[in-house]
Amino acid sequence: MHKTSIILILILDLLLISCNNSDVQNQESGALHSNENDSIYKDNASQAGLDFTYNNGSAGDSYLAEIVGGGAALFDCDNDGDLDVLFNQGTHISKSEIYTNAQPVLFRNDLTFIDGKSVLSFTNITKKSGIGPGEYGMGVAVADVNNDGWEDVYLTNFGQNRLLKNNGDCQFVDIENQLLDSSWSVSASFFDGQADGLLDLFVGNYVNHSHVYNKVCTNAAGQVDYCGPKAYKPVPNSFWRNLGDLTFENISESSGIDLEFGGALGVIAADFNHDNLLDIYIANDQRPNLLWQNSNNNTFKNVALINGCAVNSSGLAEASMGLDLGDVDNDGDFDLFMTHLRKETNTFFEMENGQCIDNSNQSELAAPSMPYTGFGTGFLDFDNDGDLDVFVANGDVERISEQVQKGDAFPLKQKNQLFENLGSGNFKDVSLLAGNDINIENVSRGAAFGDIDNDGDTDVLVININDPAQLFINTIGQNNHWIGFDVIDEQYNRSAIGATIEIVRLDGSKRIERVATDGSYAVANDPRVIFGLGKENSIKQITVYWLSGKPSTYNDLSINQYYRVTRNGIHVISQ
Amino acid sequence: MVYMLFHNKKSMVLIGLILFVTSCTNDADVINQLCKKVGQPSVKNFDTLTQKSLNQAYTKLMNSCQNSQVSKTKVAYNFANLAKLYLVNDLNVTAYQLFQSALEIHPNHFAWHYLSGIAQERMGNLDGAIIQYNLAHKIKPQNIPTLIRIAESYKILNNNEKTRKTVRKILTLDPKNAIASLLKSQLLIEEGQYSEAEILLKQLIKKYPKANKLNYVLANALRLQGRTDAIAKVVNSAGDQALLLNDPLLEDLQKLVTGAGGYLVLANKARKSGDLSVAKTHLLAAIKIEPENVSALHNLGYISGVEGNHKAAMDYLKKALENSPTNIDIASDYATALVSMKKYQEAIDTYKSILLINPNDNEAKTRIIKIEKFIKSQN
Repeated sequence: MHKTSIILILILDLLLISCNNSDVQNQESGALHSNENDSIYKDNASQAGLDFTYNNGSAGDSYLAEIVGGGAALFDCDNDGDLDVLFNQGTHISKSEIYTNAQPVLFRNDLTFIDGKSVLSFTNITKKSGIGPGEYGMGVAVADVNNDGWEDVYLTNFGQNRLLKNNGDCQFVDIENQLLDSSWSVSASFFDGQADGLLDLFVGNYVNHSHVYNKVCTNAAGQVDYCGPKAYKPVPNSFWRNLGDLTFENISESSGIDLEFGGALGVIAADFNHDNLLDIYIANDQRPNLLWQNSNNNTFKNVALINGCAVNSSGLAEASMGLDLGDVDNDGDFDLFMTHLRKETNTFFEMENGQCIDNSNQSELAAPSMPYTGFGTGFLDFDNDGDLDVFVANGDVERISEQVQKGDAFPLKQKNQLFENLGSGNFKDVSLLAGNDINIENVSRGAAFGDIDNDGDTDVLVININDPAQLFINTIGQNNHWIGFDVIDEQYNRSAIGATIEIVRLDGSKRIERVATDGSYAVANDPRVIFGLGKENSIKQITVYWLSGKPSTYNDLSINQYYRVTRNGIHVISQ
Repeated sequence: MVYMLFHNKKSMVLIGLILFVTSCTNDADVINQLCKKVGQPSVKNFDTLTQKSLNQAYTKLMNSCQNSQVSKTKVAYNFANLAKLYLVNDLNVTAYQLFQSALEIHPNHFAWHYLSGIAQERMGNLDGAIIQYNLAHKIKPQNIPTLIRIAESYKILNNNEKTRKTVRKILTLDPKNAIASLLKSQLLIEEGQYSEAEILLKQLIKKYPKANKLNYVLANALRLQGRTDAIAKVVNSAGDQALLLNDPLLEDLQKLVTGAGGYLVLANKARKSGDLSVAKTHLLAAIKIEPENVSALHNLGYISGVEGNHKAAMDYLKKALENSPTNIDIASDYATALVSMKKYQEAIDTYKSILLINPNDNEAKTRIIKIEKFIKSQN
């Protein structure tokens, strides 16, 4: 054979090999993502019987409320040790009529263990629960409001909100003439603002859009689209003092809370300035956020601007939706993460002594968020390696042209995202490795976090508009060690909301977690606290800092189990 | 042999001819391949005007693809024109592909690289956007919007070194550039050079006294110095518009929107920047296309009112209200115009109609009381 021909054949061979290699690589990466066993999260909702779709009732009029809702609660309404699920529900909106047929749906968790493995099964007990229909539903807040040992519920609505008292065993009754807030509310937080042992309620209110008051807006391409929040005036938030016996006093005015407002979507109560008083952070949509510092005399002062927490480092008030607090850098104080609109970036505030430092770009959480509109979000240690990762539920608010083109009736769908904390203050987008299920595009809103199968890792419930809710079961948390706590304060507010748990690991490093149900977007989270421990098989110490009184410290705890902690002691919760 | 070839005139002509023919054949092949990749716009779910403009641009491109008489440059422009329409309709993936096809036929076109960058940015691919912006920058090294987009992209990607370099370039070309100065002040704050940032920001605030953004960033710089005077002055969020990138390319693109929406977007931007006469021009263009466009009529009413032309304000708002009778904002502005025209009873009636829609509207309640008091005092 001629020399040139040989060279040509060799080159062709090399090209073919190189092409084939790239095929193999592609197949390999595809296999990694499509193999169920490699998923971090697997949607188990349908298999477990958790069949729920948040219905926004859209009839083509593009009411802003249609793209805001969808919240739920993970809470133990029958005190059987596992998390039940309550979804708030939407309905139709029309100019001529107020619909009161939005039926929240309650599922009982009938978790069993077979051969040491948890088997999830849910039963719809709405009819038996006594929860009737109401106005257009948005979110859910949960707490034991009357300290009777049963978790009560507050439903936020586009319309009249509702307080539901748990009479025990998931039997609910509407408490009428209390907490009557008819503004459009999305997120709410129960917390003890007065440090009197009774849980007060902060309700985040949005804008003055109503069923008769709708505007027609167009997008940049001139097509009819949903209006943004700035098309409407924001309305004041409300703050309700718990007087005991399921009665509340509206102290929005006297507390100063109603002085500043900007269209609240996310709400979180925590002690931001380490003075043992719970403050409130409000995520506002396209207006500066608020940080109401508790002055301990039933009054609050907004310190967001002077603490650097109102806007991002570019001075921009972004469209804040969901939020969460967590000790990301294990330095003993909480850091703040917030989700924002597409073309904006999500914000990560590292907090030091109550001051916010915008580390969004440095943490590498900013750039990957640009193509998405984030709503529900939470810090969670999905791999139980001892540091907090981030989950974001996405779904747009402006019609996505590519989906309009395909004829999608609700073209706002986006995939969710999971970010892994690399331990160096940086995060890596690991969504593609998290499994196919979290990459399915939906219009996601609320994301509630909790250990729904009681196996010591964090699962995620995502509520989607007009598509089934997803229950992402964590499949890898079990590869590392963990320790969990269910905190009860029998002397104070029974849910122990506002308490902080500090864990000291073998190497002396510390991390704190809040006992709370608020945060994320329009949801109530599991109040239990889990600490991932990596490969460490013991911890040095845990301390519970109660809202008042002496902290409780415990040593020599075995791992991979839940403990019930009270002021009087600690004991293992058997599954 | 080679020497002989290049020293023989006939041979040179022959080689030239061969090269020319080969190049033409290659061009034709390339164009053919690129044209084959373009799909018929699937826009049945868009409004008719969008459908029409996309289909027209597509047909024009296809005709030029099939006509060997059309120059390759013309074909490239037809690719780019279709790309622009996709971009303005936020169909960024297709827009990017079409711009790249245009660039393959006619390389080194500044606007196409720039707009490809915007498409990439909207897709969330900042690295890809920077590549395109840098290619655009090579063609027009002094174009400020390109450099600003590069700097902002690097900033989000946490590449402070490259952000700093780019900001320096911008400030060399335009020492008073507000966006670059703001970026510089942010970099200074991140480096702990708070007092330098403070000086820079105070200079900017002098120039843009109504910008909230600047006050917020200044407050941040002061706060990080432990200064208790770190309270931002909340001025007027409309002032922030002055710090937005003035992007003539994108504005030209917006005009491609054939419906009233594009003009409304431009009018809104102009109004927020305080340029009411430009806003009015765009709004008039909008109602020329859609005479009953509520938003355009409402805004025209508002601007006419601000200009003191209450009669025109009243007329525009009346028409807007006829088309959107339950819109409280329009009703409220209409009532204000009526008061200015001394039509008090009609104003009261309008406020009463607002209360029928929203019985809790305190503004309407207060206004009724005030007007009634005023009428009594006049009697």
